[in-house]
Amino acid sequence: MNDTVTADLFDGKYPIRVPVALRCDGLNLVVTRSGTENRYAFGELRVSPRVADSKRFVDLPNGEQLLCPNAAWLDRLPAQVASEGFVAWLEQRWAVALSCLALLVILLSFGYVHGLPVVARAIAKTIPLEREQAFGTRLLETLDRQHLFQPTNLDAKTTGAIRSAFHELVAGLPAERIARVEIRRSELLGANAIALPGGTIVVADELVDRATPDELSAVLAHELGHVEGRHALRQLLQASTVALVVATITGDATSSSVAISSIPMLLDASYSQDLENEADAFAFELLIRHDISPDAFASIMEKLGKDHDSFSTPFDSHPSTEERIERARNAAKDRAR
Amino acid sequence: VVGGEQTGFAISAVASATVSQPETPVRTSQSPERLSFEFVGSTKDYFRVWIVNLLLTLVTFGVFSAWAKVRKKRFIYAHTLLDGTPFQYTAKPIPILKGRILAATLFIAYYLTSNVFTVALPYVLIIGAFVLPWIIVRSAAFNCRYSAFRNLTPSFDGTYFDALKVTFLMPAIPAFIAMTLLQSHLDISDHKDTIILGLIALAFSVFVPFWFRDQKKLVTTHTLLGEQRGNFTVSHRAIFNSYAAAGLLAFAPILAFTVFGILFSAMGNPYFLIGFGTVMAFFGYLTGIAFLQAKLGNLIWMNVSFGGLFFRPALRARDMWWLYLSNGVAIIASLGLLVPWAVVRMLRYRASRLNPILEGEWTVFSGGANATVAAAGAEAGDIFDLDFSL
Repeated sequence: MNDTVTADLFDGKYPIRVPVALRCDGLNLVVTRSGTENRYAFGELRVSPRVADSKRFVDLPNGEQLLCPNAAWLDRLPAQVASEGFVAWLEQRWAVALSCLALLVILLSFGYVHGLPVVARAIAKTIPLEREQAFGTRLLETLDRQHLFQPTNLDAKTTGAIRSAFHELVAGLPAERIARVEIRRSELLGANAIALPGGTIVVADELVDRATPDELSAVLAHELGHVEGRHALRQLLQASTVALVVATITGDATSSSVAISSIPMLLDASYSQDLENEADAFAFELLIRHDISPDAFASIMEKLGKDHDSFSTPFDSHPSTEERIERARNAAKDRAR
Repeated sequence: VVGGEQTGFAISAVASATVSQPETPVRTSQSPERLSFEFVGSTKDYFRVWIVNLLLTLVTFGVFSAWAKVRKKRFIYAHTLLDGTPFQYTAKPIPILKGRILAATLFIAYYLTSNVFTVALPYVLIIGAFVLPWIIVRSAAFNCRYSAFRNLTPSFDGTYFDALKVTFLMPAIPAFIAMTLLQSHLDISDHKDTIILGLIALAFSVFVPFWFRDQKKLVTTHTLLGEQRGNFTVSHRAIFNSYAAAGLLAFAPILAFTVFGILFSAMGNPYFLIGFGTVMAFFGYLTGIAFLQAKLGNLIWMNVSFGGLFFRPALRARDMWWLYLSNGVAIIASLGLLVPWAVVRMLRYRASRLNPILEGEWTVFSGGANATVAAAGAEAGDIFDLDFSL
C-alpha cells in the first residue's frame, strides 16, 4: 500500500469516530490524526479475522482501534485469532463453496439411504435386547398408570390361547429368552398390536375380537419381526441422528421461519416404512415355517384396512395397505408352489 | 388484517418520535438524532460462510460447530452497522465448545431421567431450576463481554441471586416442574388429577409471560453501555396482553374449524377434515407467532433505553407473517439450501425496523470496566433454546 487510505479510529474511551489517514512505510503503519503522525511496526498490531469483504479491526498497542477497509496489506499483520485464517480463506471462494455443496449432497444422500440404516443396524446388534427392557417396562407402567391401557376383558381361555400361539411362534428365535406378550384393552391402540422396546408385545382386546387365530398369529409374527430386527432401537438411533443433522443444517433459521421442525418427521417416514416392510417379510417367513399361510396376514390387513379408506403418501409411517396385502398374497402363492 | 392493531401502534410510535423533533433539524447537542441502523450482509457472501462451516461441522461430528458459530456471528456483527460503524464479535471457540459439551451433558441427563431412570427426574429438574439462573446470568455476561462497538464493550453486573429471585418470584419454572412430575403419574380416569394438572397448566401459561418480562428486565437493567445503565419500563400487564392476544389469534382458526367440522361432519370425508384441520392449526400457529414476535419486539424495544439512546421499533405482524411463511416454505422446498437467504432476509427486516434514536452526545457512553466471562453459561442457554438476547 503506497497510497494513503482513510480509516476510523476509536480511542476506547468514547464511542466517537475519529477520521485518520493510513499509509504503509515498509513494515510500518503510519497513522495520521489531525496532522500528527504515529508509527507502528506491523508486529505490534493485531488484525481481526477476515469476514467476507467487511471492514476489519486493527488493535493498536495503546488500546486504540482502527476500522479499516479490507485490503491485502492487512493480511501481513499478525492476526488476533490465528486459527480462523484458513476458514476465512475457504469462505471467500465460490469454487470451495460449490465443492462443499456437492460434497454435502453426496454425503447426506448416501448417509441417508445407505449409511445410517447400516450403521444403526450394526450398533443395534452390539447392544443386547435386555438393555432396552428398562425403557419398555417404564413405558408400559406409564401407559397402565395413566389408564391408556386397561386390564383385558377377555376370558382366561382366550388369553391362554393367545399366549400359547405366541410361545409357539417365538420358540427357537433368539428373542425367546426375553420376549413376552401382554393383553390390554385400549382405545388408544384400537384393533392393533404394538412391540415395545425390550421385546414386550401388547395385543389389544379389539384385535383379538376381530381376528381369527391364524390372523392373530400373523399380527404377532409381524410384531416379532420388530423385536427380532431391533426396530425400536434402530428407529431411535436413526431418528435422533436425523434430528441432529437437520438441526445442524436448519438451526440458524429457527427464529426466522416456521414449519421447518416437520422436516425430521418427513425424513423418518421412509425409514419407518422400510422397517415395516422388513417386519412383514420376517412375518411371512415365520408363518410359513409354522405352516400358516401369509394369506392370514393379507386377510387381517383387509379387515382392518376397511376402518379407514386409506390413501397413502410417501410421508406415512406405514407402507400402503394394498402393497402389504399384495406382498402377503405373493408370499402365500410362492409357498403353495 | 393480522396486524391491524399492531400497525396502529407502530405508526403512533414513529409519529411520537417525529413530533418530538424540531421541524427543521438543527443539529444542537440536545436534538434527538435518528441513527442509521442496517444489516448490509449479502446473501451470496453468507451462503459461502454458511456452507463451508456446515460441511466442516458435519464432517467433524459437531466439534467444529463452536468455530462455525464464531464465524457466523462475526459475519452478522460485521455487517450490522449502527451510525455507519459495524459491530464486532470477539468470542473464542474453545470456551463455546466447553459450554456445548456441558449443555449436551445436561440434555442427556434430562432425556435419560425423563424416559428411563424416572426415579431421578425430580432431582434433575430441581437441580436444573437452580442451574437455570446461573445460565441466564452467564449468557447475558458472555453476550456483553464478547460484543464490541467502536472499541467499547458493554458490561453486565447481574448476579446469580438476582436471577434466582426472578426464577422463583413468578413461579413459571416451579409450575413447569410440577407439571412434568404430575404428568407421568396422571390417571386420566380420575377427574381430580386432571383438574389439578389443568390448574397448574393454567398457572404456568399465566406465569410464562411474567417470567419472560422479568428476565428481560433483569438482563436490560444490569447491562451497562459505558456508564449508562439500561432502563426497562415494560409492565407485566402489557406483556400478558400480548401473549393473550397472540393465543386467541392462534386458536381462532381451530375454533372456527371445530364449528365447521361439527356442521359438516355428516357429509365430510374424515381424511379431508383431518387435513383441513391440520392446515387451520398451522395457520393459527403461524398467525399467533408472527403477531407475538412483532408485538413483543415493539413493546420491549419501545421501552428500553440507555441514557439518551432509545428506540422507536416498527415491526409489523403482517411482514413477520409473510417472512416466517415464505422462509419456511423456501427452506423445506430447497431441502435447507435457502437457510442463509432466510436468515439474511430476517436480519435485514429486523434491523430496518429498529429505529434507534440518540438524544444528546455519544460522549455519555464512556468506557466501562472489562472482565473476562466464561462462555459456558452462554452456550448452555443456546442448546436449550433460551434466547436471552433482546
